[in-house]
Amino acid sequence: MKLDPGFIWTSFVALLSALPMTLFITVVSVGVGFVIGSIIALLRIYKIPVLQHIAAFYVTFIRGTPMLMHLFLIYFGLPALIDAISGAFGWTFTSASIPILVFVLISFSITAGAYLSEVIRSGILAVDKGQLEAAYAIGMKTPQALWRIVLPQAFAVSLPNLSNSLIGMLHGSSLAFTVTAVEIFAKANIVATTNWKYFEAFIAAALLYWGITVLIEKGVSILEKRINVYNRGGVA
Amino acid sequence: MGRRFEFVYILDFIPKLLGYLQITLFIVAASVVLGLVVGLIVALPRMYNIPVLKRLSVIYVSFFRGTPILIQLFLIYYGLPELLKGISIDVSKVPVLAFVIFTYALHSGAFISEAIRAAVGAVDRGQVEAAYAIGMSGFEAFTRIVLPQAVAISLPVFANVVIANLKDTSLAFTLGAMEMTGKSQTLGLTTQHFIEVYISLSLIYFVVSVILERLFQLAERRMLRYQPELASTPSRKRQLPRLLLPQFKKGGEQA
Repeated sequence: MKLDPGFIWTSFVALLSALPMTLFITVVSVGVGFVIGSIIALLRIYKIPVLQHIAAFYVTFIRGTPMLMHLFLIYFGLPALIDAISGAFGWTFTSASIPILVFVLISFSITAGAYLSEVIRSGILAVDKGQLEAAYAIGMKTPQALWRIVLPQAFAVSLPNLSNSLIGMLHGSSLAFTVTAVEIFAKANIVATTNWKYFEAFIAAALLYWGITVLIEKGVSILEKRINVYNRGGVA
Repeated sequence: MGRRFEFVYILDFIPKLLGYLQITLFIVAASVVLGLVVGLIVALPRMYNIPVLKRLSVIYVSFFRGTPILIQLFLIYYGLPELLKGISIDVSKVPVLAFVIFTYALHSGAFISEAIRAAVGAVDRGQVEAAYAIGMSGFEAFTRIVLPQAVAISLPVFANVVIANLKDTSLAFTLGAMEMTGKSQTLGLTTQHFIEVYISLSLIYFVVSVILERLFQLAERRMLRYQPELASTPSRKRQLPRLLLPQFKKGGEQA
């Protein structure tokens, strides 16, 4: 078996058809994860009784276990739970009617939520406390002060971490193949096994992921420069 | 899918999975040790600005940070034997575990090289100058002055790499390596109690990563023990890019 450079291109083209799926999984899980992460971060920053401990445990547990475990737990656990509930209430609804992709998205959102909550929390805490006090002093309410003063600055501070999380979730989306969702990696596997050309197919997949990662990094660094232009007189 | 949930199975599976913990830990330890060597080799050309090699190390780091570990696993598992066959070395009898360790070593090497670079950059330039001033050679100054300080600074990042590596080992089962996750697959298939298996497995991973984290915290405290001004340590860390998380965690602890 010799390396066939032409087949790298062939499989690269074939993999492009799975690109939307990978991007969809990544964007949805990071988007939903961002919402979960914000809530968790606020619960912990404002030290809401009981809830802050639950939030802290959630973050520690998710960060202490592999993403693959979250996927398997949700993929095997959630349908069983749904069926048990619907059985107890005598509904006709079963988990089999839910597409697998939904479980993938739920589990990855939970994963992303924990990591993003740490990013958001550190970003918010990195903003000088005086900024919030100044906002109160000119008569802003807490939501206003958070939304208009703290969050924009926190966003600028945590941009590198956000981009890391986004890239992490992009790479993590390759795990979805274990539950038969056809994203880039699963597609590469299919291309590899049907043509018996593993090396070429995985080189193509690696190039595709690498390309997207570099694009994200470049995009974020441009954004970072832009944001910091207006931020010069602020925290930094 | 599977049978009814039964709690007993969780307790039953934990000791069975723990029997394979040593293999998981072996993968982590071997790949991190190799990764340290790789990381240092990759970081050196960029720290000392060696022409060509510097470029190569940038590409190396970008590639291993820019592709999923799963792809790297498959690429090396299927690609390396073919490349080696080209120079007539037969690796068909090499166990899967060797490929897994090799991949994780290259992967963590890329991250470790970035940690080394950031940490060495964070050591005050005056330290090296002072070392030269009392007559140390470049090598001495690096190994005796810069490195010990850099190690202490980079410890939180290094801890993250090790824990991430532990979690990534769960992917080795895709190549059929028999570590904890691989065992969990067979246990799940034979008993049809998948949820229980994954709960037990998650608990083990969780406990191991918490223990690792604590150990690294202890090590960090010990290494920074002889620093005269503990208060200035966080500020030095703030110079490192993308270290907000560990730094912030420490801040919370001291409060």
